[in-house]
Amino acid sequence: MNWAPFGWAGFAHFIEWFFLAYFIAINAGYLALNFICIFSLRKSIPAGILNDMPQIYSGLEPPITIIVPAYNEESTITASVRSILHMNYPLLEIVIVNDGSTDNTLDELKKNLSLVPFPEAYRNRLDTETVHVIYTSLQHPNIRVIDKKNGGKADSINVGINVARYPLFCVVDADSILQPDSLRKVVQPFLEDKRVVAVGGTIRVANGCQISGGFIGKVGLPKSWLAMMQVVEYTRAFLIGRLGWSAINGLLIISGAFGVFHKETVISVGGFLHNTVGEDMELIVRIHRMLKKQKKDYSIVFLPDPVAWTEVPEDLYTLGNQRMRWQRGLSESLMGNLGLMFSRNGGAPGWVAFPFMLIFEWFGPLVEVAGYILMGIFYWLGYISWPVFMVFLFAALGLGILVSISSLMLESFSFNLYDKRRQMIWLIIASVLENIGYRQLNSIWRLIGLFQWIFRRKGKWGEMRRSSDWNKPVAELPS
Amino acid sequence: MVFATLSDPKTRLAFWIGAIALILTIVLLVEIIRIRMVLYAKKVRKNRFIHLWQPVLIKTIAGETPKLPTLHARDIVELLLLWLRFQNTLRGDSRLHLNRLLTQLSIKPTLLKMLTGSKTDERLIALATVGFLGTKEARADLVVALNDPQPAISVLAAHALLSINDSDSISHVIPMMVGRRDWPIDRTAIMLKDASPKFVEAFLVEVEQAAIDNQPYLLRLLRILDVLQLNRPLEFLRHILENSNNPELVTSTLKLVRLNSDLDLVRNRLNDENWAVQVQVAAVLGRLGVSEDVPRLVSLMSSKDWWVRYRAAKSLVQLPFINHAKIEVIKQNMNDAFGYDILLHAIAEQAES
Repeated sequence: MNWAPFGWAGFAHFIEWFFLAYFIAINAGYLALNFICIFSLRKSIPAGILNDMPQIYSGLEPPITIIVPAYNEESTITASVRSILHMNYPLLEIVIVNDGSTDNTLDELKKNLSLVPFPEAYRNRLDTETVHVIYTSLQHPNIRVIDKKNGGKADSINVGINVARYPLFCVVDADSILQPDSLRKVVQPFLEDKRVVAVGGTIRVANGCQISGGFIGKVGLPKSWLAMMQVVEYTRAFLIGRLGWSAINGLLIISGAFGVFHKETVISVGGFLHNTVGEDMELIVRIHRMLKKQKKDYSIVFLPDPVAWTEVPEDLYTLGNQRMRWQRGLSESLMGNLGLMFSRNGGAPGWVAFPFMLIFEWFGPLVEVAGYILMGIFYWLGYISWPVFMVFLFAALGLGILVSISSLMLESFSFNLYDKRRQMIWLIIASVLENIGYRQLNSIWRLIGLFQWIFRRKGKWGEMRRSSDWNKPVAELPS
Repeated sequence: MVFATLSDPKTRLAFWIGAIALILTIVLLVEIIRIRMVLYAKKVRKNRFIHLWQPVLIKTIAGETPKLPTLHARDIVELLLLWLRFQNTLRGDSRLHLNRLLTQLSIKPTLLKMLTGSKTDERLIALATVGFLGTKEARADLVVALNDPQPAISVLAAHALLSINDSDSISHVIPMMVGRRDWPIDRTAIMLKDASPKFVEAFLVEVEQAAIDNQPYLLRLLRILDVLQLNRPLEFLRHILENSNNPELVTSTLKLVRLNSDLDLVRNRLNDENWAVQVQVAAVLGRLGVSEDVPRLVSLMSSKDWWVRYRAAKSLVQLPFINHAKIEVIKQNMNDAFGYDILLHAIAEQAES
């Protein structure tokens, strides 16, 4: 477009309108999801009043295979397996897939689970890297450990699916801790509705919590500010994002850290994709695309109550890498399944959720970073005054803080996990500060991720520096 | 200067958006404080209540007659939740003792009011409580609740009606159990498991009729029936195995076969073209099979479907009359490589357990 008749001032004028409209649209979208969540929670919380009562199992609960993909998880794998073993569920098997770890993950497992090689005659329904040895535990007959050539997380999950014996499988990250009743709750939608093909639960931040007996004993907040910001981020993402989309059957992601899937459906769409870094989201978007195309009646559900806890990065380098990887994953998921968008039978996923993700989550970092830079340039060039610059900043930050605080309100009236007065004060402070610096930094990382995707950088396991303080026995924790 | 800036429409819009966001943020913060104060007050009251009433309930369970503290109207829901928690973990006389406590507290009128109220949580609590008490006065309200579109309410109402256990209640619940496909299958099965023999008989009549009429809901009924583990002749099983070509129906029926007299019909399905049916045939032969069935299981171990091979091998090694030596002979004579592998697998699993 030729801006010459209007000059740079005209261009600046247009850009100001564009960014203003964009910020209003994105935050209005989140606030709309927020309202959907309020209605959804207001309905589901009273209906679930008896859910925490001691339950009798009927024997009709579907057995579950829990797949734990592990790459260099020596510090957390044993605690993670122990917590799964204590799950309150009648019939489950655990398949741990060691994806060619270069640390002592396999030795740790051998030592703690008394593993012996097992002549497993399994079906290779999904193509995977070579499996070296399959072990079974002498202590726990329902545990198998698969030692395989390194092929990435998706490949590990596919191996797990190949050896899984049960109709449902649950993927749990090796650094995640489940609640004892998580499986019982997450399986309920499968029992209530035959159309359900996948169910996801909430992920919470484990940093700052204390573990006892393989479970979260005391819920706490992390000491690190970076982790604290992520507590707010996770609350917003799960309570507003996922629950809101689920209410209109438009959920496009089930976190890789905790989700239950109908095995045959996943196999029918080709399993987890190897060459992507966002295999969890890619699978869900592909399930939507393929089942919509086949005109199948199905449902993908998010439940806010079953909770898994995971450790989040506490240093900028790891966090930055994680966010770049997530953005690459988002790009691969959306671009690989563009056929879903505005497709004839697309429904809510194709007509609402996908375009929203594309415009605001995928394209968002570019607009946000460009917005801040251009506003700065226009101010420097004198096209906008300091008060105007501040007014725009005031609007952008105000909307961001409003969305974060509204997620804290949802948390307060629903689960209220952080029930100490001091915890809520810190969370409110974090909700405000998160919008000043942290969010912009996140946008820059995501923008880099977008460029990395454009230049096709190869995906690999997300390596993470762990403090694993939450995973130590209480006595080892600093007071 | 700020006011001069606001003469520009987009700046004015941005300002007002920021201002509204700020005001809403403050409103939300006040709401968060309010919610937390309410929750804190509730928590304190609840702790105080539990501290006072838990020992009373424990003494009651033990058959004692403790002195009852004053029960405030606002604490009734809390008492019922505590009472239900105990009821759900107890059996026998202890449950009756707990029922006596509620009678002593004259809580029935409140319960009946809660049953017809508009609050979903209170209705659910009342329904669950009535389910343990078997309150006959609640029958009319329970019948209304039975037809509620919310499955959680409807299922609890059915459970409560079954606790009254008379012909009238049974006649209300049976059609719902058959017709309500939105009832979670596990909850429905537990209800059937807890039901009286009279109700089970009425349910079996429905299944029999559904089998004769080949009703679409028959499959669901057969799945629910599995919970009873019935060890008696069921004519409709033979009827389905003789007449049905629906693999899902046949599979569910095979799961219910527990008598040797039905084995001939099971064997007829050995070469069924559906692998899921063959898996169940192998499972039944593992449960009830005789020595003549060993070659049948061996043949299934060469199936192209993994689950058929696996189930056949598992059944074979679990047969009570098969010992290590016999398995060795079968292994030596196994020509099929897949069959050989799966047999090794099953032997290893058997050794593990």
